[in-house]
Amino acid sequence: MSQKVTITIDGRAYEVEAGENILQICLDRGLLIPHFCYHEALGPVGACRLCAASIAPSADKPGRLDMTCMTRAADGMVININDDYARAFRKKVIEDLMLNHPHDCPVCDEGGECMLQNMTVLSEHQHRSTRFPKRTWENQYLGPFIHHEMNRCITCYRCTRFYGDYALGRDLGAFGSRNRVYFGRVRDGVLESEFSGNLVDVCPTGVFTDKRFREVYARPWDLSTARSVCVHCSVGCTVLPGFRHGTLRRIKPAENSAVNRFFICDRGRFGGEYVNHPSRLRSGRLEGQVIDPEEVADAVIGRLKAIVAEHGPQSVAALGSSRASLEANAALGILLAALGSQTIAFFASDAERAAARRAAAITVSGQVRVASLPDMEKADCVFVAGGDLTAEAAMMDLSIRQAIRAGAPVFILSPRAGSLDQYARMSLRVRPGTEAAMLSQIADSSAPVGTEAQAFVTAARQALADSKHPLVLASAMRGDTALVEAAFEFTRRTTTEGRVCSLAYWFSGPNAAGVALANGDSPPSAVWDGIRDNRIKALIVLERDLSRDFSSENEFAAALKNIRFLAVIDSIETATTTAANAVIPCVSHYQSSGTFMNFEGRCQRFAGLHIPGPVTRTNSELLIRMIEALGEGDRIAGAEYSTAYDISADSSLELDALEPDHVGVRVRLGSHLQPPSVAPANPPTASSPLQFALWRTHFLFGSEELSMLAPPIAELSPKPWVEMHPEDARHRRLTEGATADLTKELGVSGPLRLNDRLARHVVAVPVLAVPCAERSREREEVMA
Amino acid sequence: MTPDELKTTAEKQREAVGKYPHRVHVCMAAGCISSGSDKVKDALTDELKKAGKDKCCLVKGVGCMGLCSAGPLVEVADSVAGNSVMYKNVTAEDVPALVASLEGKPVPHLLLPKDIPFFTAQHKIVLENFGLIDPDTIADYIMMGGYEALNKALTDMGPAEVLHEVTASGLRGRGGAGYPTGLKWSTVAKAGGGQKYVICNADEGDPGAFMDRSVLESDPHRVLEGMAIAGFAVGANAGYIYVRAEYPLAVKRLKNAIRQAERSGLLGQNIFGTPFNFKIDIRLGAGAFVCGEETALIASIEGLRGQPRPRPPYPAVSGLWGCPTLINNVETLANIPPIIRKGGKWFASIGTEKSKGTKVFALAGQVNNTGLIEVPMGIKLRDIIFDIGGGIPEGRKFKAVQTGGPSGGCIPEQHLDMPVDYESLASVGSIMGSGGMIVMDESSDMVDVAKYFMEFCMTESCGKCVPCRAGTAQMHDLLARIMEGDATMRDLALLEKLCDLVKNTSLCGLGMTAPNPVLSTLQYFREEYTSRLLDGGGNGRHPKTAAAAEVR
Repeated sequence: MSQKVTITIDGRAYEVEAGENILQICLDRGLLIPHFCYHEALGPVGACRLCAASIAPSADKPGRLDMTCMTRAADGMVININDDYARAFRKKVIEDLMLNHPHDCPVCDEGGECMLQNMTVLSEHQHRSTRFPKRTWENQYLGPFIHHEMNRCITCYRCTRFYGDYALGRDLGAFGSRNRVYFGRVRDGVLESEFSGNLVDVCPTGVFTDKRFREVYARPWDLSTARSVCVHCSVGCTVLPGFRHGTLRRIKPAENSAVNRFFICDRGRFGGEYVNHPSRLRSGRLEGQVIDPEEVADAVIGRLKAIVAEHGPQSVAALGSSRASLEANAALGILLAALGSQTIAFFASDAERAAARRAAAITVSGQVRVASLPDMEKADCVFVAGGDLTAEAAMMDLSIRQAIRAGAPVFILSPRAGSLDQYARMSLRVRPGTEAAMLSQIADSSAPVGTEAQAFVTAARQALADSKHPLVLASAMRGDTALVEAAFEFTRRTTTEGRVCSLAYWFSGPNAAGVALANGDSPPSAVWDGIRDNRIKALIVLERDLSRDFSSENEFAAALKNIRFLAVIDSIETATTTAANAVIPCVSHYQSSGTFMNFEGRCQRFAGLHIPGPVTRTNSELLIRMIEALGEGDRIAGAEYSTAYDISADSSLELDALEPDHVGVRVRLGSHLQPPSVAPANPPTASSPLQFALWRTHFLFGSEELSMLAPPIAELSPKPWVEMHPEDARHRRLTEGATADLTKELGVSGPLRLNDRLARHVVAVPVLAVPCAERSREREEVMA
Repeated sequence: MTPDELKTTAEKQREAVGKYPHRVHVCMAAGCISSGSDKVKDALTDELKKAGKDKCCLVKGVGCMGLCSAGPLVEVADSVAGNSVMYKNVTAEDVPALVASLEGKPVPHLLLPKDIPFFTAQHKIVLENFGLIDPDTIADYIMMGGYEALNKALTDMGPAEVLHEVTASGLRGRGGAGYPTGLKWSTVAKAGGGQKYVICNADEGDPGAFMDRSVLESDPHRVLEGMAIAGFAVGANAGYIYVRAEYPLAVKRLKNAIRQAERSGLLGQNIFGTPFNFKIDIRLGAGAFVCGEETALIASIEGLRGQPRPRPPYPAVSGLWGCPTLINNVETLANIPPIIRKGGKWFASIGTEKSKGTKVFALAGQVNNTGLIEVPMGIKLRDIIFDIGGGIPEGRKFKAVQTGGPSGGCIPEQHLDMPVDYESLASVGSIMGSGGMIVMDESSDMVDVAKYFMEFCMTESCGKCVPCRAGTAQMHDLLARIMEGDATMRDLALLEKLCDLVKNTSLCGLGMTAPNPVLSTLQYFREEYTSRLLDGGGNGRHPKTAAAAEVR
């Protein structure tokens, strides 16, 4: 194990781990050594030569100028950061780094958080002793996210080290040599990597900057920021949104050693702009009348009371949301309870609920090891089943890429190839719903294998046998409970002596795992059946667009037909708010505080910023106001609020003590708590192998409703299409671009795309979260 | 091939060659081919046939004969009389006269005396087969004792004994740095089991250097044999030759040699019936100077950008694909077969105390006899330039000799009596280098020389570390400014400061040695710099500077 040694830095003794990186030791202890190419996640390369200090192996030996990033701590080592020669050297190095740098600091987008500027000041460089013309470059168009300004480049190679070496991107590289190295693409074009936004952070100066941020530029020190949790998937990365003059200007990742560490995906970084979208709700509405938000809330209570008085408490139901906080969902439950009803549902379908509840229960059960993102990086063999990891939980994909870099083979079971497949050892294209069976075959070496999957299963079994820390990742967002069980079973079965298999599920929303653990919720069918049978007259909806739960607008309209009163609390205009009798607007996620539970059962508190504007109340505040209006305010102050969920029954878990700058707390159910019971879900309707199965393909850009309101994300979202395997298309005599009309079989139609990386007998369509405003515009155009 | 078959092959070939009373050797190395030796060879073959002498006279294309400045070179040997004559500057028109002279008197106007110091003062170990064997015929190499060393190593010795002989020989890396070869081999041999590699560094990039190219063109099997022995000693079963694509002839001959050796079972599985397997592949470099640096070379073989990385870990511990890797220069490996054949002690008896054996130099510049030479370590520079090289042309005065290419320095007249060895050259501000030796006469402008080499380093800097990338560009600009007479004392001071910085802090050898040409010319010819400065000591003496000063 690690051994403690004592080293001396600038005359003071420090106890450190043997072999630790000297530069990191110094930085961790607040001893600032200028540096460039070193990055904690990317490691040292010794290229910039800036972190030099005088290093002696022991006190009696003379010190020698060496790079601290390339030196490992050893007992007795003496380091002099402020050695005269080292200081003079660093000063000269920074001068060399600045040789071609245009001193455009007053107009540079990096101003205020420029590492180059900080390091220049730290290195005491002031005068340029050479007098030569600086070299200049042409910039490239790199897509809607990143602005390119090559003249500022100081050739630190951080960009290619992140983009290519770390994130395995292939389209950004270093070109040329000597004093003319160009960092860019072969030709202009949108950067392909899903993690390109991190270039903004890893670039120490203003070569790669946030294109959206610089469009309406603000100095970073003028931004109002508060640590928050990303709202766009179930990974729960810690982010730092920055507001200025009432609008969100940008989102940066915040360091969280337990989750995303330093980086975030492009959906998380550029999707937050939904906050500024014109379709954000800016006023309350009651039966078409525009009124003050709080007045609507009060009026809603009046209407609900009337309905309860007329039809009894069971005539009211509520639909919670996986993108609202635990607190807001709990408040919704309490509001319903205060009205006397218990019918609250959180998921789109009974199947999704069953799968999510089972997965969440397993995740917090403590029965298997659940992998966090840093854990995933250490896996030595990875199995991904049931979806496109990059599109559905992008930062998990980035962690898997680190495992791949360390040599871990990756095996993917999914109907359609995604971005991660290009780095996988093997992929097997399967029919939707058959992933569970394949996963079981891999784990059970005695199980017979079909001929089609022979090579895949053999290779996967072999890799599994060779591994010490295998990892299974399975989707819990598609209602496939069998897959959830199979992944659990796989993990248990393959954890043997000398091998620990770990597991992680990914979910449909940032708080899906949290609401999946809700105590006493109802299956969604209970709500919709009640509405259909006229038992339920009023529905309260929290931050959810119900139209996305239905396959067509007609179905959605039919489902709502019998509702007498629909009240919606949301921050954006959706098809649901458009159809609602009452709309209570709340502020956006980044202005709200609360708690999310991520895929690994980690509760993370996020802080909200109070931004002046027409809407100032958070969803929780509005719900509490409504509960108080019922005269039931005591329920909030009492235990009921915090015990709305099983999770807080664990007394060791002090959610209230969670601070937003905390890495979060992972929830573990004590043995006294049984995992939530799950009614067996209807098995997926067995279709004959010759029939087409439908695969709704998720995209990082386009499938998530909030980020689709951000213009750069919308720009990159796919257009509607229908995909088929070329062989299947040939049998049907369909060619690329023809209209594939599968309305009768699968309810889809559209222009055909051929994809040989799609399973046979599967039809894929993109899941598109087309903003409400656009949909109505399209409808108007069609009608006109 | 078995050891017995090796002997038989050698004897058969000796017989086949010996049956001709006359043998004509035509130099077919790149230098002579460029001046038309291939046409001479064709003409000879035709002419002999015409004269009906093709049964008694063998025409053979051979490797480099050394005196490139007198090419194309042709040697005519008479087996009966047991003597041979050498001809210089032979053209196709001279061929009838040559053929006619076979049994008579030599052709006087083409005659190149063989007793001149250029030939007599050399000591050939690496070049022993040069001018004698056809590089495209493996039997020729075997006839000269080729692959005997590999046979001896594999069948009579063990890896430990091979290591012992190489260590005892005192051989040091001929790529320039002079690291003890035995020590390097031992480190790789000691590195943990599993896959290991041997790499032959044939990425010769110094301007004016062509030693490695000549070895590969003239005696490729020697390098293959050296690599196989190295592989046996360190426990590697695969080797790569990293050779620059600018050497098409060397690549062609190497490919042919590998094919022949594989077909003869001298490379591949169970060599000489032992369990030892060894295969060799060629990797072509795209002509980046920095790819001669071992870690950059490895990156290039791996298909990455050819950029060095900091050491440690050294390639001997973690090299190609992370495996222990032995990297040796062409000339180092070419020294191995004779060391194994004749023993380390024999090799150690040649040369000086710390620098053993011989060194091949590519003699170029303002010297009468330019070409490829091999001299024992410890020989005086003066002997190389004035005896072997035949002095400076047209009676001009010697000024300096540049060794070590862009990493080396310029050595002036006062150090000419210094022995050529690693330490002595370093003590006067130059390095042994890979063997480029450029002689300069009084007409040379030393600032221009420094600028030339700095331009080379600047262009070849890979662009990874700051001191080299930015430092060489600044130094080049400063030198250009000094050349133009537009510089001041302050610029010279900055140049010296940059030299110190780049030398001490660059990541790899390219940067660390890039200032050497500037430093050594500043040391010995400082006046040439200062006389050009606007405010220098010799203000106004340089015509251009004077003019510039007047304008201001």
